[in-house]
Amino acid sequence: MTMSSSKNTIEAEIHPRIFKIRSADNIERPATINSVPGRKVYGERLVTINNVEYRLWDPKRSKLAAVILNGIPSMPIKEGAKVLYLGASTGTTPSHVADIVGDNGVVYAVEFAPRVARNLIAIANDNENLHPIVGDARKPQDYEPYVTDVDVIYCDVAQPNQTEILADNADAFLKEGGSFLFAIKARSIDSAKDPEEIFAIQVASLEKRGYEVKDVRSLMPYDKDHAFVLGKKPEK
Amino acid sequence: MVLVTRLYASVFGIQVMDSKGMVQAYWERTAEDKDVFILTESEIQQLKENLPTALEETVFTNVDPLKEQLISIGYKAKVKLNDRVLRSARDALVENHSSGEALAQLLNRQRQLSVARSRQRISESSERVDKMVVQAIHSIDDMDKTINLFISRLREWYSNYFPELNAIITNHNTYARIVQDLGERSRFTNEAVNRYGFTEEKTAVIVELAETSMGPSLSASDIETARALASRIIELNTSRQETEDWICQRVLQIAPNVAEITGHLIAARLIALAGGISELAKFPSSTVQLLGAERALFRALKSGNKPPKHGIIYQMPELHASPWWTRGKIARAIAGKVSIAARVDAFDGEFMGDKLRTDVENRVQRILRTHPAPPPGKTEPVYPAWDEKRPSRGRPRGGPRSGGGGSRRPHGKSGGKPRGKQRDRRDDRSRRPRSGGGGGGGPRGGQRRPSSSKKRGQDKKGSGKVWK
Repeated sequence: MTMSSSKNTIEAEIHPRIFKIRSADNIERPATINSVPGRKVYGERLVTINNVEYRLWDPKRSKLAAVILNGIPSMPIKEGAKVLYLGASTGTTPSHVADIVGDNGVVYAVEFAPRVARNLIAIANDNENLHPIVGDARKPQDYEPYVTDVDVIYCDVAQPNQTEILADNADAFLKEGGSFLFAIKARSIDSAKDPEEIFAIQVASLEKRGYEVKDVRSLMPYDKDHAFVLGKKPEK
Repeated sequence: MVLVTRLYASVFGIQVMDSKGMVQAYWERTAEDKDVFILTESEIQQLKENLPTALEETVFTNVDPLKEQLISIGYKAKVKLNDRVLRSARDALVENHSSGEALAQLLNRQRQLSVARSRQRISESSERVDKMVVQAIHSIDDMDKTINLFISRLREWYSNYFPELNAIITNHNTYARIVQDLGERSRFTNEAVNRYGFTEEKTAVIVELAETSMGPSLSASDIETARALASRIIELNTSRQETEDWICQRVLQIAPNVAEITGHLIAARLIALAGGISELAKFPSSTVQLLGAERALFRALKSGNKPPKHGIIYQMPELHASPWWTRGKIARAIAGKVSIAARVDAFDGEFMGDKLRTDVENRVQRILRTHPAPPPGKTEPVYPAWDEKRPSRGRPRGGPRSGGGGSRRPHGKSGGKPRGKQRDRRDDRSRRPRSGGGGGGGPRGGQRRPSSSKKRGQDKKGSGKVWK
């Protein structure tokens, strides 16, 4: 154990509190500091370096990890941030987001399907900063009182009207100057159209609703037909 | 009198305002209160004094439960998040709790309430019996696969010892029982074999085969393990049957009307594919018509070929036993009635399945009567052999792919299995087939097997076809 852990090294701090770790068997992965030492959320690897435990972040399981590896230019999710996470699913990515924002931040994790939300609640039992919300992201009024204004909205909902869902939530909850991270799944919008065309339309409709798009990035080779958008709500 | 027309609900309480945003009352909620967004009797009284329902003023609020309650006590009510007054109430609340102790208090309260509500929603959803039926149907499919796998292994295995038995006993269940009960060839006596209900001649042949078998002589202990496998198969089959019985019984409670039209198992499968009875009720009937044919549908959408005409409902005899040129019409007719039935079932209507069933039968008869012959110029679509054709992966066979309009196998397991995230599934289904489809009218490629096509289709259908 000591032998292998001595070979785990931190290659870089890509963004604040998001590290790139080269593990003993020579795999490079993003990683976050485990906020609940000893706990694994989805079978990810735990690595201890200088008495700090890190959770390796699988880019095939998490689009946020994928876009970090693909070089997203800046990362609005940082320590102390309040994040509204739409499409939290079983909590794989939200658990890393909760690691990053730390005790002074909050992650409001909205998931519609009760089946997958079971696991989300289990994670939230250990993470005080994770608020599980079994609710419908298409209707912000379903959880309006449970959410305060946020610095970041993360949206990964795989719905045909996902852009509208993001914009509605940003209208209701995103602070001025706040950012959004948006995973567009081309195949949920139209199963036949050319993905590039779909992405362009989505970006245009975000801009029409008054949001700035700063970066659009492919998730290849980790996810097919996906684009990841970074943008912000302009200050008045 | 000032009219209060704005109710802003937060985790701390409900703020009552007029249309200018002046706060007229504040109904506090404490950590002990459970139904934070429901008005108490005395609050309702206060509200009615300040805003008589007879005025028919619309009350704006920010949460659904409050809106529902207001409507139930006679108000016009609407949820409007971007209402100026409600919005500024929210902004003020957020502003007042933006840091330090106040922020911690707000977050604590939000977390406490959202955890409680989320837990409650999860337990409500798993209480639903139709969700259990969905699991049971999947379990039957698993068992069918396992049984098929095991029985082919048993046949291989036991054929080492008694090769001749394999060909003569085609029924899997009987085969497993014989192996389990008898085992050694020396025990294949006339009396023993007769118990399985064969004709006298067949019994004699089996006994004869056992005596003259070219298999090796093995001791009882050598075939003991194979017999154990046979026992497992029989147990699995019993368990499968019990599951199916349970499903049939439950489906009668959940969806008596759908079950009356389609039969118990198809009803259960429709519910499973939809994800529940209320989900099934919310689908348009064109979706119901194609449930279970998702893969064929998306293939058609991508390639521009003709879309499938029927999904799992193909298993109904009214459909698969009818001539091919009527099946599309019949599928639409059945799907329409199934949709009506599902809605009655989901929203607690009375039993009207018998009437719907008669309607379906009459409609089918009329379609058959009015369409006695195939439309001129059309030929029966070719259903390629099960394992030969995987258009999405394989190379085109015998012709251009765009010409293979008939290469659809729209029933049974061909339907994609979108079992992953529920969101994906819902959204997949929200796509409608375009009527008529594009293109696909070209000459058909591929070999024709009109005679075998129907049979193959049926053999592969999803329900328990393992035991004859």
